[in-house]
Amino acid sequence: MKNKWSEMLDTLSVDQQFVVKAENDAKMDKVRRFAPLILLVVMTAIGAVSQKNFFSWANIVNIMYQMSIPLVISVGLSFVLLLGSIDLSIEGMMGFAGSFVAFLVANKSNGNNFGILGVLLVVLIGAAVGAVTGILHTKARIASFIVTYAVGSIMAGIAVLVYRGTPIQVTDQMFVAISQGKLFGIPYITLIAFAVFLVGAVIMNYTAFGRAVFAIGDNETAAASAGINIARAKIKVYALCGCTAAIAGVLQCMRLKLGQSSLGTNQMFPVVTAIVLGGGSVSGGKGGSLQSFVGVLIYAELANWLTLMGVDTNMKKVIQGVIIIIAVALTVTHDRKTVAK
Amino acid sequence: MTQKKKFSLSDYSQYMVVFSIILVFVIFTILNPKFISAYSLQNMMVEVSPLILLACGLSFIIYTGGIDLGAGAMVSATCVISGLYVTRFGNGIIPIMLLVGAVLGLLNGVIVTKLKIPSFIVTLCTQNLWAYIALTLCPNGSVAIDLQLRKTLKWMTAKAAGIPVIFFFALAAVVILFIFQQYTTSGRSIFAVGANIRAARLAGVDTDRAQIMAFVVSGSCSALSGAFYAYKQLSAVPTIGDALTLSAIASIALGGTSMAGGRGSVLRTAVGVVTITAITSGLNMMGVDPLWKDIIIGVILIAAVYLNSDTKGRDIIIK
Repeated sequence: MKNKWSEMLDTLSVDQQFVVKAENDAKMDKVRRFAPLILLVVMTAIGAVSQKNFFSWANIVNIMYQMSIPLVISVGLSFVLLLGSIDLSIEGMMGFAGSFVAFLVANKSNGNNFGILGVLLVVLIGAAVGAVTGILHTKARIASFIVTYAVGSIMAGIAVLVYRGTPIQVTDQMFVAISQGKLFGIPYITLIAFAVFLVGAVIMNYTAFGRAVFAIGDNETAAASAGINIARAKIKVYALCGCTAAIAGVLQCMRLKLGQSSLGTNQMFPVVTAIVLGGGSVSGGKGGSLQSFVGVLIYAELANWLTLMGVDTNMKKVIQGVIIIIAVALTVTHDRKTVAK
Repeated sequence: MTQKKKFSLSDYSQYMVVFSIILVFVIFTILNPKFISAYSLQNMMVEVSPLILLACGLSFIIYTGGIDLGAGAMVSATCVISGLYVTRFGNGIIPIMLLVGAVLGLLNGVIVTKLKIPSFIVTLCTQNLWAYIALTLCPNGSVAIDLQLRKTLKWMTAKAAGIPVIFFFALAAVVILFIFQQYTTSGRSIFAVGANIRAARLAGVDTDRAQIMAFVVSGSCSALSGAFYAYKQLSAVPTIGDALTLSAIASIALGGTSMAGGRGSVLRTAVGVVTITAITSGLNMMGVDPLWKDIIIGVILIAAVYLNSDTKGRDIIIK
């Protein structure tokens, strides 16, 4: 079918080709817009059938709680994927943020007690490291998957150095209060996550910076010609992603009251799966905060169902991989000129 | 065509690997003369051999401008398969693993070229499959190979003329891969794809075939590396590859192979592997906390890629 398609393109004139291409793009856009919603309905239906009290308030709160940390990660990662880049340093960054914040607040291993200042410091470090990653990516011109892979390993290494073998147990009152507190039955951690998401959505949709990221992802050359400072926007994106990864790490630490590098393990990949499920593209320009939200929700329901079916963690990761490959293969352009490396 | 010479650090990056290996050996020898003792060197030869195989194979994917983030996980999976099935096949496991690796690589290559998905996404996904194989076959950690069988596997780490046999294998692999990359059409077309895939296609190169070939070569080498680890450790270790992807990519970058594709050499990669291994084992001998290892290799990777990167092509979009 694919060959027929490219043969047909060859026989058309340039303007006809353009029309065909535009129609095809419009069709793709429609798929992108509606497929996630259909998926969401299907997953909800499956959930309702396989679980007795699926629509009970307790279960809805439970799903929202499971969404929290992926949602926070998705805020920064959505920006990065919109650029068509990737941030593989998220897991290392989360491990570092969780370990270092545990080191700074009241804990059983040392006498530190910086409280909220410690949290702020860790989030700031996250943003600063993200900015350095962005500078290395744009100014030193290193491909994002290489530089973020290296930065991720460095941060994971530093995380282990912070506690040297024995994970730090947190005793901080604020951490205990946040991890156990609830408002109208909704855990504080979920509320914080939704607040972070709202801030991210506002930045993405209502600021010049957010529009610039969409423009760069859609067509970087055109965006540069239009006068957008590409390097500065990308550095901001990586700083934002580092910041949200650090927040996610801190939330993980609050949840478990434990600081160790494995807080970040297996956190990034599900979120990439979720964003792709929501209609985001790994090659840039497609997606948005709402799409990411829907994606994370679909993913939470899927994960819930897989656990119910007794699928083990390793198999879950394989399923995530298959989902990403199928979703990307369906949405990527397939004409002969497309190059994948 | 004459070019005006202007000093630029990246012009000298091709000599980086030679400088760094000399520097590393001189510094560590001064700090600790035992560093170049026969015993230490023999140990290092055993240590570098599987990593040389892994990194030299991975180089071919890097030549095309792609990457395999799952190389380490593939080593884990093949180490486990070799360790568990060596009891049935004996030393015949080595050719079997070559075949298994080729199939795993083929899967990556076909997904990248036929479905047109960037390799870092594909390999990020498929590495979960390799990890699944490793962890499902060995759910409770390492499994030691039968004591009786160990005698028949010892030859790999035994020494001939003072040099471990495993190192001869690694050298032979490097020579074969070098001949493949320099003197065969397939080898040259892999470079052509990395340098300019559209031009290569117009020149009549079957670019899909070249890309798949790179993944197959890399898969076979990773699988062989996994088998070597099984021989070296005398057990099936499901987590052996976890840290290897980083070391392998860093070795390739340190060797001076361009991460954007199109230029490089397995000889450089092999020297890069020796340098990286010398750094880690040297620091180890000096009593530096092994926790620093990943941090140091990560920094080396960034620095090496920066020095190699082509700073002239300003208009090229890097994602």
